[in-house]
Amino acid sequence: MELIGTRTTPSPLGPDRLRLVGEVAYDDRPGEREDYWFDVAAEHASSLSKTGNPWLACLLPLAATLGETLRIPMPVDRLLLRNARELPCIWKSWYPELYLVEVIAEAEPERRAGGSRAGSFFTGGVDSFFTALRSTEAGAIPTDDLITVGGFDIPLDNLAAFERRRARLGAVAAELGKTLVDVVTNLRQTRLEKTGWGRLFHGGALASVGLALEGRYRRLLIASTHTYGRLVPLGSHPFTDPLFSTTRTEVLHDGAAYDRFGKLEYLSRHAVALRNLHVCFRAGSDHNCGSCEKCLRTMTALELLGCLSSAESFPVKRLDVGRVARAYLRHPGLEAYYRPIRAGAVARGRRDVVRAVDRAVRRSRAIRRLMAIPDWLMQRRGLWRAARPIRRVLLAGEFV
Amino acid sequence: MELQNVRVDRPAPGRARLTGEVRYDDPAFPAESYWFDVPERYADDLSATGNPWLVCLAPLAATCGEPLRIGLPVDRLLARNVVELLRIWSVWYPSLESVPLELEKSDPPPEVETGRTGAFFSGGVDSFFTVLRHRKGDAGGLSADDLILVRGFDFPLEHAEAFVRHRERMSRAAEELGMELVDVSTNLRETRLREASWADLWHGSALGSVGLALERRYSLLILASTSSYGELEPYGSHPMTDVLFSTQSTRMLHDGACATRLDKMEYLAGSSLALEYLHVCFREISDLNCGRCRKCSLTMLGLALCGAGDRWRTFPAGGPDLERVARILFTTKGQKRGVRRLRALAVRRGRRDIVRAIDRALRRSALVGAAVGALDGAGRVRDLSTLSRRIRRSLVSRMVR
Repeated sequence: MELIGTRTTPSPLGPDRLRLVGEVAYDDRPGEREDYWFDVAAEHASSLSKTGNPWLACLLPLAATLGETLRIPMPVDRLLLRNARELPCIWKSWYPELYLVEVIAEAEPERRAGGSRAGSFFTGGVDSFFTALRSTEAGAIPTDDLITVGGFDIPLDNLAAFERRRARLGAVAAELGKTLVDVVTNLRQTRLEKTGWGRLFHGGALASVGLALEGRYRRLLIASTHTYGRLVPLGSHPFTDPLFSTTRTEVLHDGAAYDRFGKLEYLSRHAVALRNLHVCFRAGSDHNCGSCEKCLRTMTALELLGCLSSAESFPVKRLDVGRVARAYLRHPGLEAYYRPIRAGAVARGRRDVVRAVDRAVRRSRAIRRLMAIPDWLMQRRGLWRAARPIRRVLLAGEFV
Repeated sequence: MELQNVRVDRPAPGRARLTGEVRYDDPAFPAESYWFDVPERYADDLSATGNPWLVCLAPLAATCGEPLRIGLPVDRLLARNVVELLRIWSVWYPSLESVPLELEKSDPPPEVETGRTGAFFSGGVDSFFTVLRHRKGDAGGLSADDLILVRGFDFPLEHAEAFVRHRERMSRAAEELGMELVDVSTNLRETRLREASWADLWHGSALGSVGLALERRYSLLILASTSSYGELEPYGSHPMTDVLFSTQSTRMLHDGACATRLDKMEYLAGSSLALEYLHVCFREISDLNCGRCRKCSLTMLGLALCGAGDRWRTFPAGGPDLERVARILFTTKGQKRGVRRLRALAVRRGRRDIVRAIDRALRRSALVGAAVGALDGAGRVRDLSTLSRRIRRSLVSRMVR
């Protein structure tokens, strides 16, 4: 695959915005071209990348998935170019079906002056709020910008929700003394999406957004998902995220020393987080539904921490443990999130919560076993139609 | 524990030494001097911060469970990183503690930008691979300016003569590579740090501290990997932890984990320079490869299978002794994984003699491993301990290690 060229164009999203567009051609689809773009406020025009760095960061996962050599006809930072040899090796060790691919690009000959600011990616969720708030502590690595991205967890077809979230996160940023930088991108509407967002490319996607503004940043912080004690192959990982660093812009994976309950414990001491926490992307919207598994899990933790009633961003102020007991953990990895919650419930003498968590885990395991039936049907020609109603029956009454 | 009285002095003509006194909270241990010794021409490059000290003392603090106080300014990013590092170590090794760090955090002045790149270099397979692939531009062109050779790690300080000979050879290699050899001596392995496991916990941080002792010189330090990404386990040098020795001015890079040791040997087999200077053996603390130990035998085997058997200069001529290969003792999963790769290559090359030798070694290792396990059990019974120890020693001594 090849980055044919890049251009900066006016943005259809508004007169005060600009769009950095890269045109990509694929070896396996001759003649087909696809535009990848990053859309930013016009005030950041001077920070927009003129190198191949953001394109390498976002296209490498796709190249490794397709097994195509990646050609970038622009200078690429020499450290990133070296890292681009390491990343496919890590990915292949996790997912043997991927390819070790070559990157053909010219190394940047000179070290140029880079940006001086630090930005941390910010959705308003537990992980990114934790990273953003910790950076305000004395002695911590300070961050100047909170970077929020439209087109990732809130899809491009719901930009109204992104606008509302941007307004709310703008207020959060102002309260924390930081600048909100919003970037909209279509990465998840390109072929990249086929590589698996959570599985392979969300770290690279975030890094590419930051590197699209590389003239601005010396440091980019990606909030961790998992803890050091429970690392599993994932698109954002402490092994891989730092490998999107260039000599001028360092990418840090932050917060893996804390589990999600520990992060919520920290957030529970900050009113700004309780007012604005947004964890739910089930509806691709800007509000917490209060009834999905992720909302219920977060609300359970907040209840144990004694601050659910003051968590304004959740629609429910009292926890319904009956609902917690019917939360459906769609994969076994989610059980790890419930272990610290259960331990917290035991420590606080909340036997009702302990029972509800145990029940949710047990029920989910049983349902997951039965889910093998519709999953099998889905693979069979002519039978896949039967899978949906079976799934519906199995999940009836569960909070997914 | 607390770092005190950091100073630079001249221990010998032509050398400059950065020394720090470490006082332990546990009164049973007297204060100790830790030092890094460099040629005098690098005296101005020696660190004036707490960065190298934080990196070298963190594993000991975690092992002893003592809070660490560094009275010198420490880079803010490094301070953050070491907190992460302590967490990782405590996950890997639950007996270690995430101890409090009492640090004065600081930021470097913006104009600090040294631009030099240093690669740690022992002359072994890993470091030769890293240096050569970058020099050839095979990996993004992070070519090193300096090769950093350390005395006091693989070469104990008391083996000064062997180190001088080794340094001479490595100087010639550096010259041919167009790089500068920077030799650093340190007593880290002669301090209380010995209480912590060198291999499992702190050899990455030891190298990191050596590099940061010269932090005014380097913006990038490259540390060659031991294991490949597919075989990572908790270890003293690891891609997740080595990068955490970075400061805002000096970045640490763990390099080469995309290749297995056999991949690296295959690469080196094409380099006459590597075959001229390769040094893998520290069994006899000599500047020469003994050609008889496990590491030498396996390296010779690998290079021979990669077609370099008649071109090496630092191993005995005539190829690997397959009788010895058949008696190699493999104890760890990593060793067994490595030799199975060699076996697969031997199969592809049609070298049935090598396949047979490896198979015999693996079978013997399994038997010896089982016997040693049983003897260790018997050794716990009072009257059997001496006898079991003798039998164990006799069994193991027949094997090549």
